[in-house]
This record gives sequence, structure tokens and C-alpha cells, in this order.
Amino acid sequence: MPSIVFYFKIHQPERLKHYTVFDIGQDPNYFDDERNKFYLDRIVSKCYIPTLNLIKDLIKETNGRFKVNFGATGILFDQLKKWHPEVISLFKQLSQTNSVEFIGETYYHSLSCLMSERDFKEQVILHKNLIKKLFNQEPQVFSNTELIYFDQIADYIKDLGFKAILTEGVDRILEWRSPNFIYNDPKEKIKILLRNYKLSDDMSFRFSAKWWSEWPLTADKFASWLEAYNGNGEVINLFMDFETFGEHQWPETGIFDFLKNLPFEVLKRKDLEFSLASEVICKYPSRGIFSSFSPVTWADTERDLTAWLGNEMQKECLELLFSIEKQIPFYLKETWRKLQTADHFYYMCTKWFADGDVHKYFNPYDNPYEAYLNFRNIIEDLKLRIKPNVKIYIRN
Amino acid sequence: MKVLMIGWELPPFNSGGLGVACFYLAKELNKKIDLTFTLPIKLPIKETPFKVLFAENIYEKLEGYFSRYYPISDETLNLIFTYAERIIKNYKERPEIIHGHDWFSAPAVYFLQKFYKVNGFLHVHSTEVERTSNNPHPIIYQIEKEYFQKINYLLPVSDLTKEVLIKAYNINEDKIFVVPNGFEWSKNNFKIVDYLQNLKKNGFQIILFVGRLTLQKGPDYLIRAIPLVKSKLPKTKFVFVGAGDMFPQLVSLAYQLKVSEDVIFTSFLREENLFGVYRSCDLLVVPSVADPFGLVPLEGLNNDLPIIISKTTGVGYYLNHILKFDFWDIKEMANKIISILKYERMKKTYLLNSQKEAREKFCWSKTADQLISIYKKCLQ
Repeated sequence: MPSIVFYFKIHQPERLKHYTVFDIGQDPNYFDDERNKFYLDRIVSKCYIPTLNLIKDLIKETNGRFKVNFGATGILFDQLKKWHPEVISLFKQLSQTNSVEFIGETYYHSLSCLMSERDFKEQVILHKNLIKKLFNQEPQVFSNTELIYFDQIADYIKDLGFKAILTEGVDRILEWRSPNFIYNDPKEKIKILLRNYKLSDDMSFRFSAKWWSEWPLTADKFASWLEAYNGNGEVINLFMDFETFGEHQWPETGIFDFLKNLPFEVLKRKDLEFSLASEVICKYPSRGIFSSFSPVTWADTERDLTAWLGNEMQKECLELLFSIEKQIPFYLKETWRKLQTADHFYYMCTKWFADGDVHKYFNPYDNPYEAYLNFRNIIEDLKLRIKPNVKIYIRN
Repeated sequence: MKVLMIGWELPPFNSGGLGVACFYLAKELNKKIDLTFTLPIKLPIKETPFKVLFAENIYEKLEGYFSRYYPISDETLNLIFTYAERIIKNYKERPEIIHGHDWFSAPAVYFLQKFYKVNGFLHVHSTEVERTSNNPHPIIYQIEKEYFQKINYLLPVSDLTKEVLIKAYNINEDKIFVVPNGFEWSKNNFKIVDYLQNLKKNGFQIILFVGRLTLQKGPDYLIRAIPLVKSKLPKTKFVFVGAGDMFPQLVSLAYQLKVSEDVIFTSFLREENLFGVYRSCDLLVVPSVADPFGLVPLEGLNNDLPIIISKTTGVGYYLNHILKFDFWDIKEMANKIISILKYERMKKTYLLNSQKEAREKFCWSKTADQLISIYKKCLQ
């Protein structure tokens, strides 16, 4: 009887404002609040509010048998708190239903796991504390930024008390094996839940694609595909961006109707159930080892880091940012961490012609070079600000 | 297919990009169809791989030949309006297609289109409205307006120009086909410019402008940006290659802004000398107010020079790997200049990516193929 694990990644970065060389040493504000609020307003009304309300109703109508997992970043909650506290109270209502689980994340949707174990752990703890404070839940399962995973991450998060991690079911690692089982890392420290990218993308990516032979996708059809795994799968992991509902797929595509009907179509079938991530890791044993030395992600067709660190500009910026880690004073730490958000690096990606549409999404820049120059100017300013202030030193 | 191409200039006897574009277009077309290229008078051109017909087989007074822009003389007008007549006298075949370039060949295209009862095409490399930033010479504008209407088909080099044709000349969209220029990507010979090399050895970074010194190309905006650039990067020099009516104005502008010492005017340069300058500089800035296509950015890339362009430079419509600014936004222009010169690592990635993209998108044989398919479509 396969368990279906829905996981929604919910994140919005704090985008940077246009920052020129003339602002270096002059302007300590890096973030474009106006633009960030503009995007947030839009996503809240188009996606968050309608979808969360729908999920709430579905949980009620199914007597709690419909279950979902949320991976919301701290930087998103910060923005919601500032501009849309009503969304946080919706999340709170959901968290009291026992059908919703919050997954651990890095607070700032950061790439820190690649650069600094210490900062990575600090951010995960920050996020853990936030979830505890807001929803009185203690995340048991972790999901890294963009589902980045490599063997060492298992050690990191084991130290932090997590029991499992979510990542991509990458074909080149799985080979003949199926993503529909639970795996573990080589040292058997944690369990690994692998995204079934085919079914996940059917929902989040191909749903409205008229070129697709299965279009239009109905809840009934999708449930029958899930049912077909009965007997050769234990978990079916459907991981996707929360923006799938109402933003990537507009309401006109019928995505909300699909979501509305899906729980009933699934629960109608005796062999299917919805599960929380922490439930499935107790319910099923691990069936094998999933190991990758180099980082895998859920992005593009390559499923690697090239969207964030594919060119020299991106590498240079990330290296520069972490080269000043030790000098960052406490009062600049938040700013420094906000700059680690993966989106800033995504905007600098130069391979976006093939994967164009996704990369352009909510991108404030015309091209990757603009993104780089802006970011680079900001780092220059940050570097100036962490230098001991010589003048004051002498005067004292 | 027999094409009669009505031209005005060919390298090395050319005033700028038009002659170069005509040369390579004719060269590529000639590989696939039968082409004859005409010039109004006998000009000292180099050998061409295609047939050239001089409408007048004698050397005329060449002085003022290129002043087809300003001031426009009676002689020039006379040359323009008798062009067709003289072609008919000398051309002994029957063309299937007449293809001209810009307004000075427009009357000829129209007369020949009527005379031979065939389709006429006019390649629009730029319009008077664009060249003068919306302040057209009345006679030229009148000629353009009249003959753009009368000629069967118009071939602007970019979507920008197409828009101008529709809005400022009231042309029906159905007769317009956009044909982007190609580019001849090749390693060209160049002469090292010692003076610039010495500057570089002394730690200067050199910013380059190439183009006619006219309103259309916006050199004044770059001069206005110099004080801002110098405020962050004191060791920079600005080279302006080109000649034009704005020259005195630019000199006094530089003086007023107290940057005269940082500006070097070289006047018009050709081939090896020009390429040598490209190779001695660090960044090419194209601040055109309106440039229908603009070969200069591609020349820069061909000579391994990173470029930034204004949003109103036609080439930019086709390129993604390129940094753009509004020509009037001097602060932003300066910001981009400084940033690129400052951040070495990006400069390299940027140059390689924009070169790669431009090479894929602009090539003359592709342009020729596109043109032939348009001919065929219109012949049916």
C-alpha cells in the first residue's frame, strides 16, 4: 500500500535593488522592499491564500486523511510577518490539524552547505527554532535548499537531530532502482526520501502543456497512475514548488479543481494513502543505499548545481561571500546570510536559453551579467563595512 | 534568378557600414543567384567576386559624393534621380528582381521596377528619422516617404526600423520583411597603435567609441559620462573613432566638463588601423540614440573587445548575452563601464558568451538564404 508524500517548497527571496558602483560606500540598504512586497502581494493572493484555504478544507472534508508537508524558508516567514501576517495565521491553523508537517530548511534558502558547515548548521537551527516558535513543531525531516544532497550532508543533519532528508530521485545514481522506496546514506545515519520526478513534474510542469499526450490531466487519471505502483513501491514522493498552484499553473488551467478532486480520487482507492514525511520513515525500512559524492539537486535536466554555480561569475561571488565569513560582525550577519540565498546565484546563470522559462520566473534582471554586477557591487560595499573603521580608531 | 542590385558605395570607397553590408550581402547572394551590382559612377573599388556595373563609366568629381547626408547638393540629387536612366542605358539583360539600398537608390528602384515590370525591394539600413533623432531633413524625408510607398517591398534590418517605417512613414505592415544583417567573422589584420599600447603599459584602461560623430550615434552622451567614470577610475582614457558634424560640439563639451585631456579623437579610420584601435582598447561603448542595426558592436566582438550598447541599438534585439543601458541614462552607462573594467573575471565570461551568441546569430549566408526565400515568396 504506497504512501503518497506531498511536499511543497515555499520560498521567496529578498531581491536586491539596483546597486551601482556609485552606491558603494554610500548606501547600506541592499534590498528592494518595494519589489519584494510587490511579488509577495501577487503570490499571496494568487497562490498562498487560495491554496492554503483549499488544503484546510480538504483536510477537514477527509477527516484528516489528506496530509501535506511544507518546507517554508525563514526568509519567507520574515517577509510574511512584515506584509502578510494573515498567511502565517493560516499556516498556524493548518499546523493544528495533525495532517500537516513542517520540514526543516536552511533559514535563508542558502547555499551555505557547500561552503561552511558551521553557518549551514546555524541556519538550520535558526529555522528549527522558528518552526518551534510559530507552530510548536519540531522538524524531524530535513530538506536542503533546492534539494541539494551529497553524502556529507547526512552527517551534518544527523548531528542536528534529523532522521531523514528529502532529495531528488536522480536516475544516474538510482540506475535500475526505483525512487519509490526509502533509502539511506552509506553510513546508515539517516533515511532518504527520493522525489519521483516523473509524477511530480506531471503535476507541476506538464499539467497545462497541450503538447503532452496525457493532456488534460484529471485527478482520476493521476490517481490511477499512483495506484499502479501498488506492489512495486512503498512511498511516492511528490515534491514541488508551492507556486505550482495558481502561479506556475494559472487557475484557468484547472489546477485548483485538480487539487480539489485528487484527495477523494486517491482515498477512493483502497491501496493508497497520504502520509507525513515523519510517518513514512517509521513505517517503512530502508531498502538500499543512495550515495552521491558530488551534489545533486532537483533543478533543470542536469540535476546538479550548474544553475547556481555553472559559470565563473557565480563561483566568484559565492567564494567572495564566504571569504569574509569570519570577519562578519554580528550586526551584519543577517544581511550577509540574505545574500547567500540561492536565487541571487540563479539569476546569474548563463545557460538559461534551453531552460529559459523557469529561470526567468520573477527574475528582476534583464540578463545574468546585470545580476552579477549588482551582486558584486554589494559585496564590495559589504567588504568596506566590515573593515575596522580606521578614523574612529584613531580618534579614540 | 536574376537580381539587379542598386548600390551607392563599396569598400574601400565607403563612408561606413552600408558599403560593407552591401559587399558581403552581394558576395553571398552571388553564390546562389545571378547578381549584378550597380554603382552610380565609376568608383575606385577593389576587386569584387560579383559583377559590378558602373552606370557612368567615367570618373566624376568624387568630392562631396558622401555628403549625401548634409548638406545635400543639387549634384547629388541629380545623380540620384538620373541613376535609373543611366543603368538602363548600360544594362543589357532583363532582371527579375530589383533590390536597392536606402533612400539614395530608392528613386532608381522605383523607376526600374516600373520599367522592367518586376518586383522592387528596398533594403532599409536606416531611415532619416532615425539618423537625425526625429529631426529629418525635409527633402530626404520627402523622398523616403514617397518612394517607400511606391516600392513594392521594404526590407528593414531590424524590428526597431520596422516600427519606424510603420509609425513615421505610414507603411503597410504587409510589405515589410525584416532582414537582419550578417557579419563576416574572420581574423583580420591590424596595426598596433603604439600610443594606446603605451597608455596601457602605464596602467590606463581605454574605452572606445566608434561611429559617425552625429546625433544618431550619441557620442555626446559618452562624453557626459566621462567625469563619472573618472571619479571611480581615474586612470582611464576615451578614444573616439569617426568623423561627423558634431565634432566641434564634442570638443567644446569635453572642454566644459574638464575632460579634454582624457579624450582622443582619431577621425575616420579604416580596416587595419581601425582594427588596431579595437585591439588596443578595453571596452567598446555604443551609446546610439537610434541605430537600426549597427555593425560596430559586432566588429568589436570580432576583435575580442567586450561591448555594452544602448537599448536603442538594433543588434541588441537579437542578443541576450549583452549589457544594455538607456542612452540618456548617463549614470547607468558610467556604472556599467566602471563595473566591467573593475571586475576582470566577469569581463572574460561576458566576452566569450556574447561572441559565441553573436557568431551563431549573425552570418551573411544565413541572411542571403532568408533574402532568397523572401524573393521567392514575392515572385509567386
